[in-house]
Amino acid sequence: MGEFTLFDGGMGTELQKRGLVAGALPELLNLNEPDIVRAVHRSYVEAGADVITANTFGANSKKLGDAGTVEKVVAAGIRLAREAGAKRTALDIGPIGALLAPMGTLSFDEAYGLFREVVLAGARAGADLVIIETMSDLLEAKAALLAVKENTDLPAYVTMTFMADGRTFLGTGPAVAAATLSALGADAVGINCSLGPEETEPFIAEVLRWATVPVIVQPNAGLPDATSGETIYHVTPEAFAKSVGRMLDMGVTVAGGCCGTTPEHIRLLRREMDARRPAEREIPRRTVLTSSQRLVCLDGSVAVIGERINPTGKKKIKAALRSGSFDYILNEAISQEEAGADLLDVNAGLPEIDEPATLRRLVTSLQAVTPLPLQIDSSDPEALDAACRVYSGKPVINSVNGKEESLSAILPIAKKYGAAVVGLTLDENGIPDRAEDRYKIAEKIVQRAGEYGIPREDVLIDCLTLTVSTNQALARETLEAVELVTRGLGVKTVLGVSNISFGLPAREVINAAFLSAAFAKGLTMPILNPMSRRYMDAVAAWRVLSGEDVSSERFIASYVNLPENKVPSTSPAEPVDITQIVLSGRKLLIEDAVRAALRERGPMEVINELLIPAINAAGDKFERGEFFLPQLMASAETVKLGFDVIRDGAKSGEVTSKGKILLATVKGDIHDIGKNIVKMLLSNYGYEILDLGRDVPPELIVETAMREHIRLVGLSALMTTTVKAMADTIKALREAGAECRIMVGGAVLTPEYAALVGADFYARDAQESARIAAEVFGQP
Amino acid sequence: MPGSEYSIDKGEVLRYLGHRGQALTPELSGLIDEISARCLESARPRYCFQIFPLDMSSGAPALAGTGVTLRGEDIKKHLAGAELAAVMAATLGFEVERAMMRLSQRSATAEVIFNAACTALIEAVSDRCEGEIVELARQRGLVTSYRYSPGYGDFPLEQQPDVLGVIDAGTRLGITLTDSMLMLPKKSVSAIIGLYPEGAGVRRGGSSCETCENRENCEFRKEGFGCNG
Repeated sequence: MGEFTLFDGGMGTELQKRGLVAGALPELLNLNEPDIVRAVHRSYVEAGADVITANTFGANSKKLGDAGTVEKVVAAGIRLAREAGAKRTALDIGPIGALLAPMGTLSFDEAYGLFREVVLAGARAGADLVIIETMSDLLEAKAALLAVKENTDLPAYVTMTFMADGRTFLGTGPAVAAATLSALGADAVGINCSLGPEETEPFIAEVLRWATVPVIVQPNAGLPDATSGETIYHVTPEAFAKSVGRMLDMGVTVAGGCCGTTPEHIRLLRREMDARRPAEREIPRRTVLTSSQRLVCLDGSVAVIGERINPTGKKKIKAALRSGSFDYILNEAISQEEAGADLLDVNAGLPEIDEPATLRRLVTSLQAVTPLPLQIDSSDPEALDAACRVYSGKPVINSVNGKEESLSAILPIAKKYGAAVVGLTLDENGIPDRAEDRYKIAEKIVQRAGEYGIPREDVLIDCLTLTVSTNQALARETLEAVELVTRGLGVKTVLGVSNISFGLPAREVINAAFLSAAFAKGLTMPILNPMSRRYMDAVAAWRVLSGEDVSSERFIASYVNLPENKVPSTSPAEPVDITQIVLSGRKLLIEDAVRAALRERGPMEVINELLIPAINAAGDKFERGEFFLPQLMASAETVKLGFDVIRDGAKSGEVTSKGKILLATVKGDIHDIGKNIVKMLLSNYGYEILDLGRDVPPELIVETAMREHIRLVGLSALMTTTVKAMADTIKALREAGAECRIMVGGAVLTPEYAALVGADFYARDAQESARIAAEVFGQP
Repeated sequence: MPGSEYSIDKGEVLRYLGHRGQALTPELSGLIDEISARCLESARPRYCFQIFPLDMSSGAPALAGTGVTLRGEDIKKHLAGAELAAVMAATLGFEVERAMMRLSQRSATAEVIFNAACTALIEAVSDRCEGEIVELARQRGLVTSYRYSPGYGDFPLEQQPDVLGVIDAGTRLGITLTDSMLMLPKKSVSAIIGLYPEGAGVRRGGSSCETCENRENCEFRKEGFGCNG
């Protein structure tokens, strides 16, 4: 791994010693107090640091605001480090200070743009490398890293900062950070800030285990002690150097200090480095996939890819993709996770939609509700690029194949985003019948991937399942191909299993048998419907047989008390009166009660004569103060289950929607509880709700309202500061000529305020929104 | 610091949910318990504070050594007579945000209860932080006032970056701000507490709503939540 590299120590603390006040922008000192900054740098040069970190940590235009231009502050920062005699100068990039979507409101492109500006200024000023540091958000670190890689040839080191519980503020652990950032092309990855060297050590061990590039550490001089109401760091230079020295012996090759460290800490660390050689380190070569929350390693284990997020043959998913109201899909994701999926395939391929934009937004939304790594599935390279770009982690791309056109379009995307890629064993001549010929295509894909710099462990071969009922001999060929590829190429395999049984009855029986057979041949990642009990049984059993489930612990835990049949705890004595069931919010009873009612009445009658009066009764109780909010909502959810029973059982056209209502929390605002309550209630009056979520840009609301011929739009804003966005959205709707009425709600709004922003209605609460909807759609 | 070091007061959760003595079914009561437990499980409560001398020389309270002057008549009134000001921030972390986004897909009822449980918990975390400040004040022979936050009265929300900045709440707690001055994680609190000489006639508010100057047109009270809701 070459030589050690010594970084400098704390800048902030040294500046504070020289009179810098807390809370101000320290980067402005590059312009206002250059002598102080240079003096700090020089003290680190004299202490023996190889790399001096320029004082540019927060020099992005968002943080600087009007106080200084990025160009000037960065140029001065780099210059001061060089003037101080730095052997190498690092452009320092810290977090923007605003959070990216989906947790925050900053878009990936905005973040990238901010970083790009800093990177270009740094490169022009002559920085030798870039250090991206103190990151809490893996996606933000990725945006910064891509900004370096796509705009310069400078090396980029990336460190994230972890709390004592071993996670960043956003919940990413060191293993995920190391694996993901290595794959993305960081030149070194590691940990800085927050903790002292002692506390950092176990986490750096994790980084060393998963990083495929050199590892960097820059701890604080201990945990900050704030018990006196001031911040003090206690670790002495001697203790610091000794602790970091231990990490050098573990395999770390780049080190320095963060908050509270001084030139003396660095001087003693120099001594530690000079006294030893970099430790031998074995670089792991494993197939690893990540989300920001989870790492899936396919070393000796199998992983289930949930297949359900795919519009092919699924009416509800098609509708969700077309409308942009993703609730149904997000629920499918959670259900598959709960059923035991390890990854989720995500496909948004519908001819009539903007697939890149839809897939990108869907991937962002999914990451807010599930920690599972995603397999991004599209035949459109542009859609794959758009979705991989905003994915926080190391995804799988599904897929490339042996055709030249596919290889040259898809492999560069996989390389750029550090993704693993599924390779289908087909080429210009179609799918070969014989296993040997499929193997040859696999071999070609692995080789071509290697030429693009994609390591073998990141290529997953799909030997392709063909329908056994049309050509019975081919099932064996597929299984043999799995074995050949596994043994011969040493790569992992993927296989969609359900195709095998097409045209046969009891398809699950065939599929489960085929799945077990494929496992025996070496299959690593089946793509299947995890909601099928039979498949998940086969997976659980294989994990026992293969030894992955050590001592059968997981199997025993899941199966020892398995109830034979789920019997709902209903007894004939329970009330069957739908109003009573709804008012008491007893969800377990409603489905049977509705089914019973459907035997005597038509679906619309059940809705209009039973369900809606029941929810009205709950609403009345709420109005009178006999119910408080959770009671009203529990009633509403009970009614919703009743609705689902009716819709699922109804023939097409039998249950008519009373009209479509579009709901959104406006741009800049991410409070969505109020909106969600309204959604819950309105969906129980037979309206079809399109929920675009929170922080929704006006353009998307206008576009959806026009396309879907929406007659009522409900907008929510909770902050005084975001009511402006509400006014902008209403203006945009009017200007576009959308023929809709608009109701607004949210804590800051009053009837006067609602009129001022141009709304047609003010909804004081969710009940009121139901009355407004009735007025607009002319129904009770 | 895991959430398990704290407990969630069910009475408070019910209060935030707008409960006014309605009959509580065992199902709903159980659901509130279950969701409160989930809230404690996913929360990563943290707080930090720092105490600054107050410089009143410009006529407005300034946090000495920081370059930050607090704007508005109400914060000035609040800190009148104080020697020191403690700036504090507390948060439940992003895990609860994540848990709530997931829950919102499953059940809006659960989401609403989870939100109320979080509000009760962030109050408890803030109380613990405040308790440390009170103790430090006591050691110095001082007494404290209640928590005063940007957005109360005419203390502008736009000073949120200053307040969080002087205690480095971004690095220490992971609190960030949106362009609309919304703290993320949403379940976060920032506040200023005055430290006064004994006998300065400090008003000790109970719940801060009762003494809040802004209570008549409070954005949050209308929904039945505290201002952290």
